[in-house]
Amino acid sequence: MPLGIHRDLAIVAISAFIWGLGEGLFIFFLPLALQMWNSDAVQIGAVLSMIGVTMAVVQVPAGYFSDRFGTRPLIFASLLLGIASAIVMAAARSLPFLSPGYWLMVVLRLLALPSTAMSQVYVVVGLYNARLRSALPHSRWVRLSDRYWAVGSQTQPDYPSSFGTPLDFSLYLRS
Amino acid sequence: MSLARRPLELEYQEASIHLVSPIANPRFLGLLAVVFFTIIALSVPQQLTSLYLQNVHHISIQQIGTMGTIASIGTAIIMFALGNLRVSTGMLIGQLLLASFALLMWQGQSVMAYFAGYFFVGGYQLYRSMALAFSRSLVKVGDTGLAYGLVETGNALAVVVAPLAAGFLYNYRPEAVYIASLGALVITIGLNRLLFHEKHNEILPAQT
Repeated sequence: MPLGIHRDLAIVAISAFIWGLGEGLFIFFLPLALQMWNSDAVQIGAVLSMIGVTMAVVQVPAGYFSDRFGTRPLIFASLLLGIASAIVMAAARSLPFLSPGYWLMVVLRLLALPSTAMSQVYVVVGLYNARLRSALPHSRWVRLSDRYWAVGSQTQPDYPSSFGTPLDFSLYLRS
Repeated sequence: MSLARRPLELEYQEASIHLVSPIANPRFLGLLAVVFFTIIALSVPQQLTSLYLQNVHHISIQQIGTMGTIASIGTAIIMFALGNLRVSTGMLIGQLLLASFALLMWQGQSVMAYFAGYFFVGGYQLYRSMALAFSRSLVKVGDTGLAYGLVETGNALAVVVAPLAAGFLYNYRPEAVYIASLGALVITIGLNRLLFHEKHNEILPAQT
């Protein structure tokens, strides 16, 4: 393969790039959006900490099931969750409505594709990469998909300065 | 070039260690504990920085968006440039980069300082990737899934704590987020060095 990269790894890298692209458009502004809905710092922190709750719940089973059933079914399931989460977040008009969508998004991130800030390399993709049996050392495989996510996430928006309401943020997500 | 080859050497060396189940492996459990505290220290300053910049320094949303772009560019550059470093070196540099971020957010007085700070935020990603790669070297191939799951669960628990801690610190005093993080990073750098020092001692007998 070109550059010695396995075809499937290249596909995973492209997926990571696209995912980083999408997530980079909004994740950075989530605290500001939550503030628009009259949340204080502790409440915002609580919403952000949900990612950790989901990670704690999902990671070990994800590793176990990927060892047992393979990684592809989990990746497909998580992609469907991702679509659902994007719809819920785009429709959000208030904090209680945004949170479930955010939670779903977190599940997607952890099950399938490398993501942010939190970041990171994720269980299933890491294992999927490992099973492609490249000549690359395992640790290099693990780090590779992270890099492509990082490239994709460079598209942070220059938020329109007119953004001032939760509705603006909601419309922005939908765009 | 020489940097790129080091992980190969490291993985070869570590294959000589007697590997047991992750749950029964004190070295692996030590890694989990260290990663847990380090991820908290690395995460706390990032969580509410957009709020801090807007509310305390009155930075516009457009400028904050630009900082996000810089953060991602910095992350990409850091991951591409430093992703092949030795794991121990990468973990140290990741923490130092985040310490630079926290310092610039705390002491910075201009937009350029905040831009510079955001460039270093990729240190978090670097640390996490390196920690995961390190965990692989401590377990058997058949336990890789479980090991990754445990490490990410440790990360997750830290990520539960970090935003809440950031929220309480921010409510107390916005700058306290960065001061507390810097203090914690001094401790975690020491803990990480200790972890690798002990592992190095464990590797040496296997080579002779």
